[in-house]
Amino acid sequence: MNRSGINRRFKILVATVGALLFAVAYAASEVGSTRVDVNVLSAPKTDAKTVGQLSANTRVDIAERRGAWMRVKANGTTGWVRLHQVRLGTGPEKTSSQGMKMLWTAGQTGRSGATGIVATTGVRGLSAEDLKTAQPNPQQVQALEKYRANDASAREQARAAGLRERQIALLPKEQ
Amino acid sequence: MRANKLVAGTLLLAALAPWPAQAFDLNLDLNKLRDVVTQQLKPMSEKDEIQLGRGIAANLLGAAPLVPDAQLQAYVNRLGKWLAMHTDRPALPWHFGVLDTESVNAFATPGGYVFITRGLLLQMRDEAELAGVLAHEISHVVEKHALETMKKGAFLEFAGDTLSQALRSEGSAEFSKIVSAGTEVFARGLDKQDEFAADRMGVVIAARAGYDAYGLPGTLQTLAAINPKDDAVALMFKTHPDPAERLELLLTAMEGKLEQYGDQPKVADRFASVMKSHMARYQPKKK
Ligand SMILES: [Zn+2]
Repeated sequence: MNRSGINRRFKILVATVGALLFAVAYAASEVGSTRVDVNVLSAPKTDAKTVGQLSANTRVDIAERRGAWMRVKANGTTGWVRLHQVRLGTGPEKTSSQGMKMLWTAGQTGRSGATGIVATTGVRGLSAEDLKTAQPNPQQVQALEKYRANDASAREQARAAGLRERQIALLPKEQ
Repeated sequence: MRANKLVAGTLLLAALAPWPAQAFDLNLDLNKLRDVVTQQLKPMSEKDEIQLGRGIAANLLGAAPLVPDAQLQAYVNRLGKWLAMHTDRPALPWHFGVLDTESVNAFATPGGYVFITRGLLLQMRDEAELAGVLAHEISHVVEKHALETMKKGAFLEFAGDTLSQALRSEGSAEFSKIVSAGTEVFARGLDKQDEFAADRMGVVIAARAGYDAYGLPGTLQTLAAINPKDDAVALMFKTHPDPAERLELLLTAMEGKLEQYGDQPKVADRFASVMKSHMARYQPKKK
C-alpha cells in the first residue's frame, strides 16, 4: 500500500473516532422527562411493537434523534418515543433549571447540554420596549448588505453538505 | 371570508360615493372608511414593501446590532438564500442577519429581511434546526404576515396614498412615523394562526432544500423547556404561542406527509465547526 493510501486510511480512522467521540459526548448531553405516560416502541414508526412503558415524569436519557422520534433509555428500557412526549431537562414543565443556558461554549465542539454554563449576565437583551423606542442604524444596514449571498454561493454551500432538492407540496392550510 | 366582506363593503361604499357623506344620518366618516377599505384591498407594491422592510430592519438593527463575525453572517446568508430559493418569492432581495443579543428570538420584516438572535442560534443542535427557524421566518415574508398585520392595525391611520408617498421619501418624518409603527408590530407579535401557518410552511421549505424536516420541531422542543419567566425569552413568549402547543400541532400536521423527509441530512458537523470557530472569535459586548 502506498503512502497516500495509508494516509487516507489514517484520515478515515481519525474522522471515525472523532465522529464517535462527538456522538458519545452529544448523546450523553441530553436528558429529558416524559410529559405523559408513553409506550416505548422498537422502531421509529407508529406501528412498531411496544417494548416498554414509561409513566409520566420518568427521567430519560436521549440517545438519538431521528425525524419526529427520539431513542431514549430509561429504567433498563431502550426504544423510540415521539418528540412531543418528552420535555427536555429534568425539572417540571417550563422550568428549565437555572434559566437559560449557552449550549455552545468556547473550545468545545458540542452543545454542553445539562452541564451548560449559565449565560453571562450583562450582555444586552432585546425587549419590547427596545423595539418601541428603536432608532434606525443605517451603518448596520450597510453591513447587512455586505453579507448578502448570491444564488451560486448558496447552491455551492448546499452542495458541499450533500443536500438534495425535493419537490414537496405545501401542507394544507387548516387541520 | 373576511375578503368577501371587504369586497361587499367596497361595493357598498362605491355605490354611496356619488352622494356627500352629510346626506346620510349615519355617524360615519365615509371617506375615511373608504380609504381604509381601499388600503386593505389594494396590495402594496413590491417596491414599497421592500422600502418598508428595509426601514424596519434599520430600526431592529438600531435595537440590536449584528454579531461582528463576517464568516458567521455569510454562512447564515448562504443558508437563508438557499431556503428562499425554494419558495414562491425567490427573487426578493433576501438579507439575513444574526443579532448580537442573548435574547432568544427571530424576526422577519416585509421584503425579505430576516433576523435571528445569537441567543437563539446558541440553542440549536445542527444546521437543520437553523434551516427550520429561518424557513419559518421566510414563510412570514412569503405570506406577507407582518405586512397584513400592519395594514390592519398600525397603518390604519395612514391613507393608502400617504403610505406609498412616504415610503418613497426615506428620511422624511412621515417615513420614520410609518416605519416606527411597523417596528412596533414586532413588539406585539403576529396573529397566532400566522405563527402556526409559518411553522407548517417552514418545515416544507427546509425539506425542499434537502434538510431533515424535523429541525424546526427540534428547536420548538428546546424552547418548550425554557422557563417563560426568563428575561432572555420574555419577548418571544409574549409574541408567540406556547412552543409546546406549536410542536404538537406541527407534528400532527407533518404526520403521514413529511415523515419520509425525516432522514435527510441534519448537517451537524459543519454546524458544530461554524459554531466552534464563532465562539473562539466572539468577544461579548457589555450593555
Ligand atoms: Zn413567527
